[in-house]
Amino acid sequence: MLEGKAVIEDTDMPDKMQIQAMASASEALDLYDVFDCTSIAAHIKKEFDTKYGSGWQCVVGSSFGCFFTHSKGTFVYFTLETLNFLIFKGASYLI
Amino acid sequence: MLEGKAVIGETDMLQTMQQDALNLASKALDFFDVTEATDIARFIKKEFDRTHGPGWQCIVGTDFGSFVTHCCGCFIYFCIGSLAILLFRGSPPP
Repeated sequence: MLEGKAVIEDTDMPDKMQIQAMASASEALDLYDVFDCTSIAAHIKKEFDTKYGSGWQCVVGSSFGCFFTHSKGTFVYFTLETLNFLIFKGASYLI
Repeated sequence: MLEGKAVIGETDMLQTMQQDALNLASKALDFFDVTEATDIARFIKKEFDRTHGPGWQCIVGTDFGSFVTHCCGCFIYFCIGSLAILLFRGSPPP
């Protein structure tokens, strides 16, 4: 992996899951170009759906802001190279 | 409203809800500067939680890609002014 170390900006995720998030991001950057944010996000989200159950959301980019409700213990926001990564599982609710 | 017409990129949403989203985005841009992406996202998400039930997520920015799972009938991605806006309701756990 050629990337530098990821910097976590904010999280309420267990350490092991954080490491998985950064590993998935690093892996995605090996597979895709840095401009292909959607493919990078897709790779990470699918990885998390597989490992930790469905319902994960992933946003990747260099300029975005967002506001969301997430399940407890399932949120991480970090920076790796020129990109920012947001991974979370949407909160469950009654319909 | 000073913004030009919004351009919808992708959507899976009733026409009336689409219109709500576009109206809210336009209203948000009257309140906030285009650089305050998080405040704009907060404004839209909170209003949708209030009027269409909880669980909405909103992403606003000039440069991002995403991959999400959403509820049937609860997704819209559109551009207004210089911003792209993604609004969806995350799917509940099975």
